[in-house]
Amino acid sequence: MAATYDNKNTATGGGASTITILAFTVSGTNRLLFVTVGSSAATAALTTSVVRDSGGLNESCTEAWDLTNGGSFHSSGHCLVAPATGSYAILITLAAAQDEIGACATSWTAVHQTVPIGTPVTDSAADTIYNPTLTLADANDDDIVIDGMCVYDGSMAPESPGQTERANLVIAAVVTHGCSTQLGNVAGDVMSWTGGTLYPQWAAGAVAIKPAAAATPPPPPVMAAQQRMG
Amino acid sequence: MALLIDHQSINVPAGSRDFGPVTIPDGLAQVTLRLARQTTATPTFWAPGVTVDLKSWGSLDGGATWQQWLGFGAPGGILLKRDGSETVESWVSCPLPPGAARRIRLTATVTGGTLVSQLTVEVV
Repeated sequence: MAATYDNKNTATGGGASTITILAFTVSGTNRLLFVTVGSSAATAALTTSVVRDSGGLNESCTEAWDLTNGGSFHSSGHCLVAPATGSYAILITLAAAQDEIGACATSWTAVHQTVPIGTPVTDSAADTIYNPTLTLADANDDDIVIDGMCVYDGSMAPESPGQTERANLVIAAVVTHGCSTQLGNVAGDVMSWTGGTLYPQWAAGAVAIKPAAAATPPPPPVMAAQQRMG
Repeated sequence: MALLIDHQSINVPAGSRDFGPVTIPDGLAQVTLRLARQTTATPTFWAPGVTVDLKSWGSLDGGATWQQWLGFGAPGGILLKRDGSETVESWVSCPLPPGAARRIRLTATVTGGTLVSQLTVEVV
């Protein structure tokens, strides 16, 4: 069974090097927190850290991807296995102040606790391709694929069938940070955002969230009886 | 829309200062914190070398209990944007949890000098 969506919150900001996402409740079993960040500036900066309940629990997220397009746009993804249940804020720190910042934190249950994610894919564009598109080849049918992107446009939407929008944050009218998910497919997953017409500049990443290991089913009654007789 | 704090002039020496708490009107769903930056037109605001960490705490029970909400941190000085224009404000915005007895308070922690600026808290 695929991981199950639990809860989320988002934040946008600008003229800042850190932003904090307002606390939201995480609950359930086999939990995972996944945070996507998109930012833009004259020179885009990478994410330095993502910490839940900074100064308290200090739960540090692990980087899944972190890239710029070599210019003004940045995307990163970060996961935290088994976050404490309860409601805590998430502090995101970037290497430099950015013109626009967007972030989306989603919480999940029924996630594998030792191999929570697969191998991420990333891509970017600086001058020719308008719409962020990533193809993830290592997802299974019971994975959830999650993407995050930052694009120089204010009118983007998820394009692929089955792609569920988790965040579509338009910041200062011209920069969008998007996050979406879809059920994995062994034939390959395309995570695509469409609508870009302003400038063909973006950075994006995607990764598969792995389901919790299925419990070993009990033997059928006949076999169980034979085992007892043997 | 409600301006809970409307361009309030602030002068905060190095250290911390609290603002509020103020009551959030029912039915509003998004909060934004803004701090005016130094620009050519506002040369006395938020000088270079002055760093600000603005945190907020929210209450859903009229102030009996509090949890950390949104915030931002930034360095001072004139910050040029991608297009070469000056950044007028540093800001952060988040959806609010629903509730009927919500309150918000802020703490500005300043290092490297005195923060001169204007603080705005807007809810829509």
